[in-house]
Amino acid sequence: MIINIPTEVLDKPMRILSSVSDAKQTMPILGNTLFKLSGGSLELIASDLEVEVRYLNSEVGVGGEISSTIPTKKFSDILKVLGGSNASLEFDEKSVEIKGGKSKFKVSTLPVDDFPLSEFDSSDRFSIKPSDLLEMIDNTSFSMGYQDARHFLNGLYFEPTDSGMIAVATDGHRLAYCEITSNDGKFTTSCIVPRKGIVELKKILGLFTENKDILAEVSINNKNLTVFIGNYSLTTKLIEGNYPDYKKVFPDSLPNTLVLSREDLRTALQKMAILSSEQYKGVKLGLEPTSLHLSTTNPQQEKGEDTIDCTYEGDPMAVGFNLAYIMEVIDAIDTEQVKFRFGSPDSGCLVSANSNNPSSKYIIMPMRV
Amino acid sequence: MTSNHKSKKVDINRKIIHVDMDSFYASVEIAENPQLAKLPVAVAGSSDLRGVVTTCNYIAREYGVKSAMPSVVAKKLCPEIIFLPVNMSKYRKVSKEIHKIFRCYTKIVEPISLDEAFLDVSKSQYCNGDPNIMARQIRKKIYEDLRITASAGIASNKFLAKLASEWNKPNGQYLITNNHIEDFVKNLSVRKIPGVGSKTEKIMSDFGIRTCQDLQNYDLEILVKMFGKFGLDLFDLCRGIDDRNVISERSIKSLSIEDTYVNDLRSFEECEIELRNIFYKLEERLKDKKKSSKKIKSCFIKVKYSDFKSSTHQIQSASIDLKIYRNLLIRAYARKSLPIRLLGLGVYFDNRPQLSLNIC
Repeated sequence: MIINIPTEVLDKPMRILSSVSDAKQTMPILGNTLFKLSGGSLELIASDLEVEVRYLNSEVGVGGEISSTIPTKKFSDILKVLGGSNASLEFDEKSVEIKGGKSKFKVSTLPVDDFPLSEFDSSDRFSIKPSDLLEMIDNTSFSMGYQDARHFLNGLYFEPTDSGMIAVATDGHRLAYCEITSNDGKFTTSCIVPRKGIVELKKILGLFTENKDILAEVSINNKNLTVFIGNYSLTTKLIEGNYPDYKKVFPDSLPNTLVLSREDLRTALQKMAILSSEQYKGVKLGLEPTSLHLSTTNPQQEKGEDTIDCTYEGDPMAVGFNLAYIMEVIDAIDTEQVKFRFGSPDSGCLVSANSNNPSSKYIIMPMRV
Repeated sequence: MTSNHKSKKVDINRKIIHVDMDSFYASVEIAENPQLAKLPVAVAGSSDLRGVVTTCNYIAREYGVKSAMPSVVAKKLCPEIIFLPVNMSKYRKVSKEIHKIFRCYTKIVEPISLDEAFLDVSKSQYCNGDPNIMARQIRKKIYEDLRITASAGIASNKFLAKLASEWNKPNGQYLITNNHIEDFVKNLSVRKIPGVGSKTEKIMSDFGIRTCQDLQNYDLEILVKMFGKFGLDLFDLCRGIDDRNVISERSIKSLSIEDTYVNDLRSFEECEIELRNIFYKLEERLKDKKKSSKKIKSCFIKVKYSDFKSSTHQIQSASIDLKIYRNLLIRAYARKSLPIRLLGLGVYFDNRPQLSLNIC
């Protein structure tokens, strides 16, 4: 069976799907993408049993009936380099020959029956603007835990509020919080979405930021979350367990306030990053009424220092931080000025945009430097 | 076979001293009881003959007595041998004193055990920066203060410095200059390379590889094919190249215990039994005073398969637990359906002075 299909029709979704597949010794099929052509519709599905991404294009305009699985990474890499504007795919029982321009590849396939498909259920759905969902993810996901034995930290927590929803991420050293109001719809229940589900969802949502009219449909039950948007759907398992009480992390009393230009701070931190220890990335902030003194040292006893203008109200003090943590936070903030509020050099500092009611707030724990 | 590969660039101007105390436990006992100095002395696990020799002095060694030898055998070889019980707290105290002397010369001191350490004196200004004179002074000072002798090796890397300290043992030192490295490693037995045990030695000898020079004839690709990632190290070490840094105690990043098996582990059950054994050893080691004050960041398991390729799996955890390691073993075991020749368990320490949120 041979089909001819515009390369770009396959290339774009395969770029998304390529990071979903993850072949395991025990289940090599998880390294493959399900390729299904039926009645003029093309369906591509990749899964690693935790996250499944489907791409459905019912207007592909190519006839024929094909059902096979192709190694995801190889297929995606081939499509990127294939010459000509059309790809010709010739399937036989155990392989597929992919031709384009003067290039030709033959790749082994695996039987479709072995491919594990997730089951959709008919739980309630709600709609949300992709830009809202993406905003919550972008503003928080960098603080998610990574391979932490406290498994509930390895994901992003969503919770409904009266007027919208919040997202929280923490790795135990810092916490990111983002609240949005939404007129379209909101999470019906709280849930923890695993890291990989968030990373893949972010890529898909990124495809639709230009399209103001499109809405994402989200369905949640106690095990899975599915997001439908455009030609894509993503289903991810949810992390079981209770998310820690993030509210108690926000300190009541933070009497010392620093306000400064986000860009000045970024530049100064970039300078400090040159010599800070690769492992700890420690930077010391010396707080004075009109100037912030930054300094760093590394195990080779090399030093870097810089001073920038600021407005500081509070007791003069010096406090150390992982500069990468500060950098990630100020990258997520989009106002010209940022506000830091400190308690003592041993307690967490609260970072936010310098505005009255910032939607995102961050707690960063200090480092003894 | 010749190699087309260039070894990695390493700093050949480093000055590394390896100090190794001579029959340390026995020397400490003799320093305390100088009348024992001319007698064969062994420090043994227990003072009767059921124990095993931990260390013996050089007089006892002349009779053929060695470390790890059952006391009964030692007694047969040397009937007049004097057995003394192990007194770790005493040796720790002396070791502390020795380290104080090291730290007068450099802050970069990596302790290997109570009686052995690497010193990076590259930036030290003492003795006009001459590491050979520094080593002599250090050994002299140890003898003057503590009445025990030490041997030292001086070279531009850890591998060579350690080999050099064995060269004029006991109570001697040896300097390997950079011009001299090629000659030094040429006839060196592959067994002297760290990581080459009896099994690897046997494989090498089947290929006719006995010395570092024999090993130098092999391409990097072939060494990697034969020994996995270890092939990369072998390629450099057999040329006397070693870029490992001297890591001072404050920055010890991990602690691990591993065992290489004479007979590969072929079933999950076999692995699980060994996993338990290593786990309990690791648990013991972590109880050690200095280590117990360190915060654990993550647990890891290392397995080396029969094809010499190894794989490491880790998970973040603030404490060790047999269950965690068992889960990691399941992951490692599923990765390849090959027998396992080495199993190791370890922890990474959280040296970060990073404070944590009070949430979990």
